[in-house]
Amino acid sequence: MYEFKMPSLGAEMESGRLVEWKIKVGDHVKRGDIIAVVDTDKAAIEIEIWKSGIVKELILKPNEKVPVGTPMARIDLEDEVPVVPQVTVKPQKTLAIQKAIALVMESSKRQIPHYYIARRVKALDLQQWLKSENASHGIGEQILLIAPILKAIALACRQFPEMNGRFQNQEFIPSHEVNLNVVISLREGGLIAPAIVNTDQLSVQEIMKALMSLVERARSGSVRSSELSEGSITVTNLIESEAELVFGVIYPPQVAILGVTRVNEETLNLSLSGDHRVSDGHQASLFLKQINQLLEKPERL
Amino acid sequence: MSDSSIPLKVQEALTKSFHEIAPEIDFNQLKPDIPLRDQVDLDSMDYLNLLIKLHQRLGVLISVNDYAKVSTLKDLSLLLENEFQSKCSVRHE
Repeated sequence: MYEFKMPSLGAEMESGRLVEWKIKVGDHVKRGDIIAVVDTDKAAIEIEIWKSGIVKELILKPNEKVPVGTPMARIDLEDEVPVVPQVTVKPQKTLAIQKAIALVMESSKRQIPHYYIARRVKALDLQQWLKSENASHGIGEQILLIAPILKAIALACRQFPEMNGRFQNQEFIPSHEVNLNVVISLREGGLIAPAIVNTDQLSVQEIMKALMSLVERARSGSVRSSELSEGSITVTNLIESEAELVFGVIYPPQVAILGVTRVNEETLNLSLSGDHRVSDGHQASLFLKQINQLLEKPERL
Repeated sequence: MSDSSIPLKVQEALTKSFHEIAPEIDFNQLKPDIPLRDQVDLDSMDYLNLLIKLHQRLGVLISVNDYAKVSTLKDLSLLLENEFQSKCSVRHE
């Protein structure tokens, strides 16, 4: 007999609420079947089972909220295939996502003393570099403006550990990895911010590919749960909007969120919301200056 | 391939590619003379994906640098037809 337990869908997830069962007693389930929808603080997530068998008992009732690790169902197993803990994240509907965002943002603004700072970045050299790169590469290797910017941010994060990490249990722990969460808008409404792992170690070309894959998977609802919880800093990219400045709400337990906007063809704005428990405006201004310097020499990124 | 079939091929490739990148958009409702940006919510990545799909279907290469040149569906169709035409004639030689 196998007990299916409430999975952990991210480091900070403590409990989950069963939205609905997709199975009933007596059903035959197989590896990869979606058996339930669980609501975390972040999103409604479809849970897959990684064993095959017959459903014996549904322990949890819809709407019940239980800690991670609590048995949810009992399954009579067919074979003993090793369990691979894995889930796919599928936005259920706009409402669920909006509700999840509301909860996280509310807790962020309640707990984190935000400060805000911005600076302009001259982007003429960057634009020219981008044009010549794209002119000399095929359709599969085209780069969009955001890719070198993400690379510059990631490199700067290495030198400013107070911008890149997690504040948990009254303590800031800098992250050894630079995992940039990128805010992606979903077609049906709502946002999701999965991470590009080790962004600082990828080439601009690789960042572009990772970003395209992430956007595609975010919009088709197949972002991995690890990609939501691994981030160490978030970037919100509004370069293509007509907004000139954005100050995001920090995605806890992270300690900074960077906004990228466009003033005109030659000028970008970098804006940062920081956690004042961990960093201050002086450090933040140096951080933005470093990103600007990196973007002045895009060929070195 | 006869020359008259080129606009048709381009149109077909455009319809299919658009549907793949943005299934919520009714391609037939798009107005050819009005900038695409004013009609649909597509970003540069959607646009790049569109160019990749068009390349797969027609073998025609358009760089993201040409973004400014093709703001309307009409511009895009014409550019694709011209490129496709020259590609086909090279092949015939």
